[in-house]
Amino acid sequence: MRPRHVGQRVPRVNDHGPLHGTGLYVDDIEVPGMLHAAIVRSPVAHGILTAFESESVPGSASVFGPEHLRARVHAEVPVLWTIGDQQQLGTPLVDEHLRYVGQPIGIAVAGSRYQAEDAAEAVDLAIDYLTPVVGIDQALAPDAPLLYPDSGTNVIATFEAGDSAEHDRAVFAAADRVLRTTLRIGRVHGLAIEPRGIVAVPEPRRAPGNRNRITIYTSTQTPHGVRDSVCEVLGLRQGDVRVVAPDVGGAFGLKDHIYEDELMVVIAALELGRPVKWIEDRFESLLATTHARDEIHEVEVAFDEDGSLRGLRVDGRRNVGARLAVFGGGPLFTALGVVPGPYRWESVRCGGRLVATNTMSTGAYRGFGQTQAALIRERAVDLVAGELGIDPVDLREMNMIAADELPYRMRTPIQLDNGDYRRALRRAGELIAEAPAPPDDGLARGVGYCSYVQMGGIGPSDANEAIGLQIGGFESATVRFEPDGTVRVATGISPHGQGLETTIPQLVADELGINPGTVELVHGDTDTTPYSAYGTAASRSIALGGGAAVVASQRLADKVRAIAAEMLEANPADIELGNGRATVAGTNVDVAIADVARRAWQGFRLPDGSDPGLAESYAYEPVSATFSYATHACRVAVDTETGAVSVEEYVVVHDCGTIVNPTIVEGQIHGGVAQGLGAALMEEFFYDEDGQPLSSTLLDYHVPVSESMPDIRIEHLQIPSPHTPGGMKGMGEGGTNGSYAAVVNAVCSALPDADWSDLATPLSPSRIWQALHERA
Amino acid sequence: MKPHPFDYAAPEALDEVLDLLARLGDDAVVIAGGQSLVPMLNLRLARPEMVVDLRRIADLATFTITDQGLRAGAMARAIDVEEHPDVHLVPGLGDALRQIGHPQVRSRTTIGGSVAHADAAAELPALLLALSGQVVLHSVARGERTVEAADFFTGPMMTVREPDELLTSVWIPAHPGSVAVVEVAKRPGDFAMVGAVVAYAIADGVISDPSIVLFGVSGQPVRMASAEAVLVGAVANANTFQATVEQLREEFGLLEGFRDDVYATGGYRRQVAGTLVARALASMS
Amino acid sequence: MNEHTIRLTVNGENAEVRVEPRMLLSDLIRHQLGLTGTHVGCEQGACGACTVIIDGRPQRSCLVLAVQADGTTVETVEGVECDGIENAVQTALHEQHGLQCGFCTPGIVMSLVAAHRAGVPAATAREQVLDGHLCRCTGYVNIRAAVDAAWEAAGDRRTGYRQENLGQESHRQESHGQESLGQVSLGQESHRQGGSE
Ligand SMILES: Cc1cc2nc3c(=O)[nH]c(=O)nc-3n(C[C@@H](O)[C@H](O)[C@H](O)COP(=O)(O)OP(=O)(O)OC[C@H]3O[C@@H](n4cnc5c(N)ncnc54)[C@H](O)[C@@H]3O)c2cc1C
Ligand code: FES
Ligand code: FES
Repeated sequence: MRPRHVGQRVPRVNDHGPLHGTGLYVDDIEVPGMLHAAIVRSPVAHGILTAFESESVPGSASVFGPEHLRARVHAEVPVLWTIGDQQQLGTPLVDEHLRYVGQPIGIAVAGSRYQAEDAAEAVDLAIDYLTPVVGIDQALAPDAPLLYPDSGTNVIATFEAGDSAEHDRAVFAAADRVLRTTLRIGRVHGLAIEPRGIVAVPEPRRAPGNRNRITIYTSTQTPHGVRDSVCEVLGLRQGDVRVVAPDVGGAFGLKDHIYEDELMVVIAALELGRPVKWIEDRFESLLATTHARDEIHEVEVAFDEDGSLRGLRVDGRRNVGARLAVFGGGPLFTALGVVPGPYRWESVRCGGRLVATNTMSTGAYRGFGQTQAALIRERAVDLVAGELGIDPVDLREMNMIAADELPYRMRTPIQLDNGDYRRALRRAGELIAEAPAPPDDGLARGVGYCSYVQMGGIGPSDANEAIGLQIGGFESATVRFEPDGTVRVATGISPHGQGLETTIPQLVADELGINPGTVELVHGDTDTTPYSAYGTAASRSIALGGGAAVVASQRLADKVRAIAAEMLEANPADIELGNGRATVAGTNVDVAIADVARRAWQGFRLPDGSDPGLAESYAYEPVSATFSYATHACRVAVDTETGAVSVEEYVVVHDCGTIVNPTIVEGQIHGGVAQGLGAALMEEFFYDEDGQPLSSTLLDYHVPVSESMPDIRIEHLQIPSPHTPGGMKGMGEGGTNGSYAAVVNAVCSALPDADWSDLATPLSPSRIWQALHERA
Repeated sequence: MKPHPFDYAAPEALDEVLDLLARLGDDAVVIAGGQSLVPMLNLRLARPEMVVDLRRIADLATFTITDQGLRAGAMARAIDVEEHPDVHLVPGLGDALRQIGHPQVRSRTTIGGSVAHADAAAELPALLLALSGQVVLHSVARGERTVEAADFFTGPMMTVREPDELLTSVWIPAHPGSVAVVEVAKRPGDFAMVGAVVAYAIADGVISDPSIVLFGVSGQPVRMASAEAVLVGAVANANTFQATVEQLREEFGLLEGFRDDVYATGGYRRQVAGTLVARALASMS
Repeated sequence: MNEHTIRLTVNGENAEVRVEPRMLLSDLIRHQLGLTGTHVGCEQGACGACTVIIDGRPQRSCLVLAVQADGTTVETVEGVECDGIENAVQTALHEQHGLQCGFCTPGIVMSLVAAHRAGVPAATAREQVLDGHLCRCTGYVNIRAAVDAAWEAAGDRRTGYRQENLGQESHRQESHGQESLGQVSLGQESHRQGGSE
């Protein structure tokens, strides 16, 4: 009879800082003797830097140009995912071949940020201009200027997924009908409200052998990943570099690696022997923090008159920007891997091309390609429903994998685990139908759906290796009782808003029979946490990081039982843990778990086979990825004369396995829905023909505001994962994946007469109006 | 980003400001609410030698609203005017102000700053033009001069104000009839992609004093004279309004510097401008 | 550059500091006065993270030169009282899960505290006031719930709010969703009001 904390709405433990101004974000860190940096960036989209002159820079500032920086570099900045015939495996820290506006080419360091900017501005650059290429089509044109002339093409890699060409042709030939559509998925920016930032603090000769130790405080989601790259690029020993993630003001995939400009800060700190701080400003952030998406998909769907979906064909092109981001073409690869979704298909065949252009890299962003996959598939499904006049929920249901068909191997071929996809769909359909009827106000209304399966908890490690991903898929935890009976859980995951400081203790507390208030999460510091290549990303944290903590806690509980049994002169199998006490089952003979902890650390009369101390570590190697799923449904109102859209009603029915804390899960869904809604309706990063960014302020890059967002009705299904300890399926990205396609589908269904054959997101008022009045 | 260095003065007398402007001309820039200037300083797009702050000149911050209109010192804050109990005496004024950014921005935004800044998509310049307001300028060289709104705006963020001149006050007369300020923006609080100020009165059953101004569609707010002409003396009914909008769309085609950008095509702006005006006209009858 | 000496009151304490004219108030607060609870997300006036209360009004501290704040009274999140509405806002944000990464939070706290003190109704706070803040984590849903809870807890001081504004706001609230263009409806409605005068 122990209290269950898992599943409870336990209030978050770390809200106090931001609410009262006592948080510690990277720009809040002050170190004595600290200098401030500003980055010198390429003003042109394409060119060759022929001179970097710092004569006019005031003497009080130091400037490091390409040559100086290069002298400190041992290796390229790694690309951690190799896909298809990809040749680019890393990118140089500095490169005189300028390939995008904002490319870092030098760094200025001075006593204040103001002075550092003055110095950076005083650097004279001489540039030979080259013709830029900006869009995918332009880059693929036969006579396009080349970003990497030696390779002879702007195509960085091509790859395939799914069925063979023969099988695909046979299925398409046998189907009654085929529809095709073009989807242009706009370039977006993840836009964490806190920009990036780093404080590099060298500690001269603190390491053995007179080596420098350096501590790097940085706004990152992956402290170990940052450390690995710093060491690889600068040739430092991993033990000499400590990376600390303080409070992080959002990341969403943008802060999943160390950027070239941040490495320059580390170099400057090492060269000057002084702490150096660099905080990205919003202008730089919009230009030079990874963008996302920017894809064109040609989609064909084969189906029968009775509504059976048969074949899906996707030809996807992704604008990867000027250089591959750390996970390269991973988002497109992932999109095409999960594109079949929760439906039965006889054939799914996909091709992907990664295309270089003179723009900022596109990289990881919440959903990591799965958002695009949902749009591709759910648009195709709606096209079929519309064509056949079948209700979109009915068409989905008849083609949806039934609960008893699971586990099910998709044709790409990823194995889905368990769940009841149809139940989520039906329930979402019911809920949206229950929404209050719209007023009679002349606006066009439409309901849109998106059903998806979200791959999270990527692994196991061998599977990562098999797809060219060079990092393992496991997560580790160390759970340690202190002698006073409080518990600390050291984890490699690195929360930055997900509430893991609250939820991991809930999991641990239940295993140990204690109160979560006595459990504290230790995270975000490479010196004190177990290795994690990912940190917090890819819907992994609660499933894998939480899974590791669960198993470590279970083992620790065994040890507590063994020692308590010794103390109570009972059999370990009869010891129950709960309410902070170890009790002999069926009796009131008990001992406080805190007393067990003290004894363990005293080492007094421990049972045979028990080492002193009370801690357990576990590295959890997943057997499979996890698959949460949902159906989102929403109703929009469109003003057909102005193209303005408002999302009025929104429902989500989802299953992410065991829910550790419903409040936090709902919060993740809300935020995800907002990001998908933004991409569907208003967010787009623009360049002009010369590759100059047009979206360089937050007045030009439009993210949703409060009035853009409806309230959201959420229902939870809870079918525990068959694989993860604790049964959690990752869910951090799901909201985004569902809302993007659901909102687009709703707008399309509100305006059946518009021309959607070439659909570009975001569906801005102007685009909607054009589809209605100019193209239709 | 942080501003380029500059000197700063906050004189207590208008004459001192005018002297500084006379001496420094283009090298000086006045700061009113700073809600447009400081972003430009921060981006290093504005790089003045000297920033002259108007905040200490008490007279500039006063305003009066009567049934005749708004007489606002340049430094009157948008939020204070918006929240004034008599704001309704100048139809359209409250609506225009409430569509400027957010309350947190309006708490510094000034009437004079918005008009002097002359953003093509800004509400207040459009209202000023629609209601045939006036702008008062002061300088050492030219003394005081009053400029009609119709002559004041000359292009994107351009006005007839000379670099040594200070905008000291704005006069927005109350319209005898009704005024609507309508716009389509990407999100609440954003500058308009397309906006319109529409005003008319009805006397003896027919329309008088019509005014139609579009904003956000070209380099400056524009008065649509030929469309207005359709309204004069006409009966306020659907036919009149339709004829007005048709004329407006024609006239629109003749506009110079007509905006066609990544956010909205020219075709969209033209069509939606007509829609907004049509809706405004209908809602007012 | 020549520095200026300015005097201001920050969270009830008098401060006298020397600043370069170009120093932003946000930097003065954070780096010279060490009050790092105020965050900076854009320096473009758009995100709202830097919002502080100056002379009773919520304002962007990134769009105020420190020299302009001479003689003013500034309140930051560190100065928010631990009772009354201030605390109700903070408590409600916590209880309703109105923050995730927390970066936008201090600015939102300041705007909401100022709005409630000024007698702004909850509906206006949920929309127009919150629209002045970007939050990328929460989708605003729970922040709105927190507004309702805080106003409820501290008492919706509607009586202090001017009558015509109240009519305007509640009307707008009803029409939300009918007119997909909030701003069109705003203009039109108030025109009707104006016209009826
Ligand atoms: C997030 C955000 C959203 C916004 N949205 C809108 C919007 O929707 N609509 C809108 O209209 N505006 C909008 N604005 C801008 C508006 O708030 C500005 O404040 C206004 O345009 C300028 O007024 P100001 O008092 O701040 O002037 P400042 O920024 O101080 O000055 C602007 C310019 O005018 C000059 N100037 C100012 N006063 C005088 C004077 N008396 N004599 C001569 N020259 C002078 C200055 O030198 C400067 O060049 C927005 C601003 C922000 C930050
Ligand atoms: S930092 Fe001031 S509004 Fe964003
Ligand atoms: S809580 Fe992260 S931006 Fe609002």
